Amino acid sequence: MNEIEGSWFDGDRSRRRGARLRWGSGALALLPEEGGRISIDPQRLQMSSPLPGAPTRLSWGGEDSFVTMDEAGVTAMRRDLALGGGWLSRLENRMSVAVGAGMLCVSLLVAFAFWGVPAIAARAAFLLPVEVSDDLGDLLLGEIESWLPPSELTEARQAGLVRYFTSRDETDASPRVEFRASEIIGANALTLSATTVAFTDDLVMLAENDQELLAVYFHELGHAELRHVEQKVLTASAWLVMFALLTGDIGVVGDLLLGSVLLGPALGPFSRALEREADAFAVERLLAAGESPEAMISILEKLEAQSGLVVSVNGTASDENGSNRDDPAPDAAISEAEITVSENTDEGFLLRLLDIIASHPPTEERIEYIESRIAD
Amino acid sequence: MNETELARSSENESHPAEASATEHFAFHGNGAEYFRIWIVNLLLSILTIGVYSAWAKVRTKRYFYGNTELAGDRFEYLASPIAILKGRLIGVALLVIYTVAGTFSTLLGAVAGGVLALLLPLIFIQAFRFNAHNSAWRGIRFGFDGEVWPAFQAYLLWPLFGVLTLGVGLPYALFRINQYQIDNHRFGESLANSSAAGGGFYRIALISIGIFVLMSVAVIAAAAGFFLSWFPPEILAESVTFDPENPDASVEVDPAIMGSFLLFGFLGYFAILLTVFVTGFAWEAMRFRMVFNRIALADNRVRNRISAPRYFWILFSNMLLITVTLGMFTPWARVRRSRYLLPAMWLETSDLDHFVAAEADRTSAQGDEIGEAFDLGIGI
Repeated sequence: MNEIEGSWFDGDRSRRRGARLRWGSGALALLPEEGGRISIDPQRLQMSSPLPGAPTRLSWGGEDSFVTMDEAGVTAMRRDLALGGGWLSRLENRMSVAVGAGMLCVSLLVAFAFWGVPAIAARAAFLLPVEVSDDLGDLLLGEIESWLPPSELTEARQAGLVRYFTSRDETDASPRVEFRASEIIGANALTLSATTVAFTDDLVMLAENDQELLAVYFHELGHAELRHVEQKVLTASAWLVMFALLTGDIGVVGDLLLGSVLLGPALGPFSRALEREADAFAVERLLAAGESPEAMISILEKLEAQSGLVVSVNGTASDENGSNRDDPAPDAAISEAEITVSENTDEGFLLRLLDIIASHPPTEERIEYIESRIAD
Repeated sequence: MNETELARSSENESHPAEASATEHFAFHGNGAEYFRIWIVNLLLSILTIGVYSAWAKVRTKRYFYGNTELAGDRFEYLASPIAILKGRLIGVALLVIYTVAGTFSTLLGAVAGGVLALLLPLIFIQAFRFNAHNSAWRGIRFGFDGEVWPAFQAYLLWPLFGVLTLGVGLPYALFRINQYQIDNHRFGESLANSSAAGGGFYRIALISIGIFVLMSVAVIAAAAGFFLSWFPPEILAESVTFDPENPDASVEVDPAIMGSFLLFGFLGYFAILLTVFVTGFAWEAMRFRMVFNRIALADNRVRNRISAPRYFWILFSNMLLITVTLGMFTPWARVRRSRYLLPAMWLETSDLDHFVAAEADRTSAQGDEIGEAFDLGIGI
């Protein structure tokens, strides 16, 4: 005969009565302290699943319940009456399980954040209507207006370049091409959305011939057609939502963050993988247009030669100067600040910090890749 | 036992009404223990793409109720995870309908949004009813008997009034919501009643606004001081080019300084968030203290000696710790909150042995069929 002590409630009045529950050889009975014996059909017995620290509740069909804190007794009763269950509480009782579960949770979350989210974003970016890309381009152009005053190139030169680009371009819907003067970002080209790319005057001047500009255009077109900016924005939004969920009830923060901080990632550098995709895209298009990818090598070398002068927005042809990082974090301070970093200006804490974070995507590697494609 | 016998026995046993005793609440949970439950819940919820979250909720509530003690007995949470899962599936379905409607046409989305808003009072009623019905102490269930039209008034009309009066009516709307929630709850057959007054809500709203204004002024002053010490005027003058003769020309800023500006803007952004949180937590601390000093259940009264600043500090530091640990502190934060609040609360009571179960709770499982459509975090 085994028994456990606990409290008996009749479900009618809020009065506690001490009682013992006794079991053995298929029989089960409640023995109230006040005397008497209530036998219980073991078939009707219901027991709450064990939970560390919480009482166990037993009921047997009616309004009555028996509540006990005797965990060891309950475990023995489960075993004797073959009630099963309890595997959850065994997990919950072990610190090793908790540590393992914690590490597994973190790894799953990290894996999802760094592989799952970008993979989903890469698909989801193509589901966005074109209007979204138009709006995004306008929004970002507006945001960086102060760095990008109107171009000083003649209208004819601008229009001529756009005509030249679109004539060599197979796509039906070419993105709009903006020209801007910019001392801050120097020779550079940016992709602002699937429908918006921009060239700086310095880049147009730096290029020896229009084929070089075409190479840059195709690289940007790669970012645009493959919807790289949209992917970055979607990835960053998903990270923000994950962050909000992880850190608990910060709904307000989520709303505020989604509104403003997304601009940072949108303008921040592309990951190396996205850069490689855009390079491959550009080489394909150059070959398809009957142009030599040599033009791409020569413009990359020119940008490399003036290295130390500028860092790009959005990691473009000139971004070997150090703005590029794998996996841009949704961190507006850093991403936005990177827009303005230039290595020949004053050092200073922030600039050094950014330099440390920046991974330098090797121009050599990119040139090697293009050469290997020419060789094919 | 028949009615006469019951009446006689209660005459014999119950204490005289004036001899009121004090029964303190106690909380026995601890962070490490709850952490292990929490992390297993989290892992299983991730692995089952959220399905397990219904079971996780039941285990969490059972842990907190089961560790809350009044007069020697623990509270009980009796909900079935399946009922919660059903509720959540309905919630997900509603959200999907709303989202899909929105992508087809703005009008359809607006209609779906309107319908969802009208359903909100019903969702609240169902959630309160489910939660109350599945909460028990000494074998007696709580209950919630709120009706639809008063819920509609409390959750839609009064907040609308608050907005139309440009916020002046909002504390009153919050007061009406509080009255609706508490006055419709019962324990067994004993009805709960809140004696909180509209004026009290205005008092704590004014204090919260005062805190918000003071903090905003402090943040702006600190930002200005910090800015000027970081960028002395002579440096600013050198690095910013602005031609007063030609105001249309764009202002040019030295790129190196610009980076610091952006970092500064980011810090300012967090200062604003901090102000919003401080105000929200201050409101919650004062509201909790006020509301849980003014609840009566039959001739028992809920009282507390919670210090609003202390409770504020717990909420605020919990948020900081949860954020810096990327959520890992959450279980300790929840336990810490209960550990402060519950021992600071008590019941002024004459008799806790004679609450009677409501007949409706026994015969039907009203409120038991479908759980909360959204996790509303409603508790007693």
